[in-house]
Amino acid sequence: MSTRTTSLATAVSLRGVTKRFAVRGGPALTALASVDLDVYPGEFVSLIGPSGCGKSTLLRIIGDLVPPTEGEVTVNGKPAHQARLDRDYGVVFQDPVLYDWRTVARNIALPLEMMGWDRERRARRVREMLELVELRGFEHHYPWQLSGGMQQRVSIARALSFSPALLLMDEPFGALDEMTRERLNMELLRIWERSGNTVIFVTHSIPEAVFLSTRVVVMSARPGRIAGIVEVDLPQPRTAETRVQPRFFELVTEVRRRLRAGGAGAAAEEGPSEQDLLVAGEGQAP
Amino acid sequence: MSAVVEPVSRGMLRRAGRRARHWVPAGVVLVGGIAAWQGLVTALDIQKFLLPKPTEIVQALRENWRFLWGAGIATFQQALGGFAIGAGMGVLVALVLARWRFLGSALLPYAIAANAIPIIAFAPIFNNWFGLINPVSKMAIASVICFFPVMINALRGLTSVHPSSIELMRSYAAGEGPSSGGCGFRTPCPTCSPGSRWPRSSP
Amino acid sequence: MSTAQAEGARRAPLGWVARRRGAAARKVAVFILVLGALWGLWELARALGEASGLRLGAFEVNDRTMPHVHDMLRQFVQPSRRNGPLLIAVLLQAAAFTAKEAVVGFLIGATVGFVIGVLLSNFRLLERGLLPYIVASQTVPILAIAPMVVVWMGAGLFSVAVIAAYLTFFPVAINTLRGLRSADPRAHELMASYAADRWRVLWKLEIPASLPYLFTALRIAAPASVVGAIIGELPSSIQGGLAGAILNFNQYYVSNPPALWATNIVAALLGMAFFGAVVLLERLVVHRAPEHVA
Repeated sequence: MSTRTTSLATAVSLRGVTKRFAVRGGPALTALASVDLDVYPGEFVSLIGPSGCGKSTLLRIIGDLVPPTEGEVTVNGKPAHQARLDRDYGVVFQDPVLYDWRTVARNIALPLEMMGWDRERRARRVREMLELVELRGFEHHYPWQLSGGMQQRVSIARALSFSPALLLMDEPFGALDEMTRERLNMELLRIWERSGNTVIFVTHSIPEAVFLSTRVVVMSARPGRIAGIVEVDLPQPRTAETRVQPRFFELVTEVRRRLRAGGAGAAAEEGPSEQDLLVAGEGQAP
Repeated sequence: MSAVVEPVSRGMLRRAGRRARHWVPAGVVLVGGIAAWQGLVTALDIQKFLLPKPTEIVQALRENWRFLWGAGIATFQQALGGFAIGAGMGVLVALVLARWRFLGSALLPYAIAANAIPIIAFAPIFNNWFGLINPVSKMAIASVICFFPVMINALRGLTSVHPSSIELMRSYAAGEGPSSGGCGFRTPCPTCSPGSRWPRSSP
Repeated sequence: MSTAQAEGARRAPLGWVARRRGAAARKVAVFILVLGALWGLWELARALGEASGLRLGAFEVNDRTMPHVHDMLRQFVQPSRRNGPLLIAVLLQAAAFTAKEAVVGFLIGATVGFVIGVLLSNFRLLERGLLPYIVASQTVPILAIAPMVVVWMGAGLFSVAVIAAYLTFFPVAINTLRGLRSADPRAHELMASYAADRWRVLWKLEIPASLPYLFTALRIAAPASVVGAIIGELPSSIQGGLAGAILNFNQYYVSNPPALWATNIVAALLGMAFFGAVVLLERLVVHRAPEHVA
């Protein structure tokens, strides 16, 4: 794979991305070690790995929310920082992170306000988005009047409202019950097919990763690196039938095998969690 | 040997250094503020009764030391007594109200509203009750001022015990007594202490 | 989808109306009950004290120390002095006078406090340099500061308002600072992903997130401004306000105790009215999950 030629065509290109966190009174902790990855436009790529493998950190590095210690991140042919300034990213977190003081409609309109859209245009787009995530009739509700699944749909609508080229999702359905999760998986696929976005999706559910993705990137325990990439050749569009196909189970087994090989054991649970480190601040190791 | 000891002491030094650096801006403001005060009053020749120089204040402090010290001790005793009575009563009432929740939740809004009463207006009445020069009347005022914030915050803390930790206490077969002593009492501390920090300066 | 819609409808605010009406009726009942209980408690303490002849130092229960509640209330409709207007008219006028000073002081204090909070939250160095002194300022008793303010600014509405503001700004500054920092770190990440500048983050995220904290402070600050106004009137020798009324009726306490009590009832009501006004404003401004509105 020659770097120069592919990076022009890639949606995301990572070269030697390394992240070290300073730990008080101890040696620096390497969360990510020399990660190389190319994601092509229109792909749905899942990052999967044990807790603390740095997958959330990697997602934040791609989104220029956390700076890498070393390495290069190119998004749509430009540095990640420039891509963030150009508003190329839509971000969805595990929690919906909706603003309590805004109604559903005004939550979805938040990025549009930041981009200086006029009221008319905002209202039109919010209507489209409510249609897309099937929340019509709830525009004047406050987030705390909605169920968890509905809140997460609002959060997805907000991320898609300004048509970002790249959708970054950090375990968006991790806090939901299994039934809601499967329904939202279907909805997400439908939205992805319609919008043609590139999606990078962090999860620790193997079936979810296989069901949704075109490729599954398996990461190893700390220090996080790519332990393997599984191409998901299940037919599109995916349906409820997909989950019972023999090929689906083969792929799930394949991902599981690679996770094991990558050392996804109890060892990964030791030490401070990735979330702790991220929230603790930008403790950059020297 | 030294390899083991040194990193520890260096870490402590660094931490001490960081803490010292944290207070540098505050120190600069203190020294700079007093210097500017002294300088401005001298330069603009501001009259003494409008704003005395810091040096003059120190001078006055030295001359009246005995008197101020005595007065300070007296006020301190009254404040301490009032605080002890008010905070003690506040915690006691909060415990009672927390034990019978419905009472607590019914009365809390009134306690909060009562906290809005300008207690200072009652000073003359306490003077009439206990005598103008009697320290008890000052303690009474101080204690009433302390009472409401302490009571409200203690009650909030006591009633904010996580339901599952109450269940845990129940499963340990704790009676009502230990339940309010063991887990009910631990939680109010963070909410209680701002309550008791507040009124201290009021008298 | 239909299940989700039904789920949403169940949480919709429609059902609250009926429940709220029942709750309001219960609240009124409890209010009357509490008021009655307080009255009964007072009279009971009186009766017990008088019957037992209890003495605590100089304190002794009698008509002078603990007048009947009905005597205090009746005092409202008695003339304030011979051939003078009714006491209630005098007191309401005094309360309005003090309220004006308190409102100005509250507005000054709340504005100054809010601006200080915003500045400190944005400039760490400023916070470390000034915060210790802002906290220390509250350990200086207001009674000691009030005369100095009057000397500097002259007796009048403005100096009283400044004294009131001295009590008001502190809780507002501290809670604004805390509130601005209370926003979810991921909400900050979200703003970063929109490439939001500092102003936008402050305006769209930090200030709305701080509102519940701000109102908690205002609920403390509003009654405090009444206290500040009363204290401010003392060294200014302002006669028209509640402080003047308190001093005046204190002089005649031995001959007419209920008048001073009536004055204090008015002062208490004024403090609670200020508190209530803030609570009302909060209801209008803050739309938050019920558990957030404490």
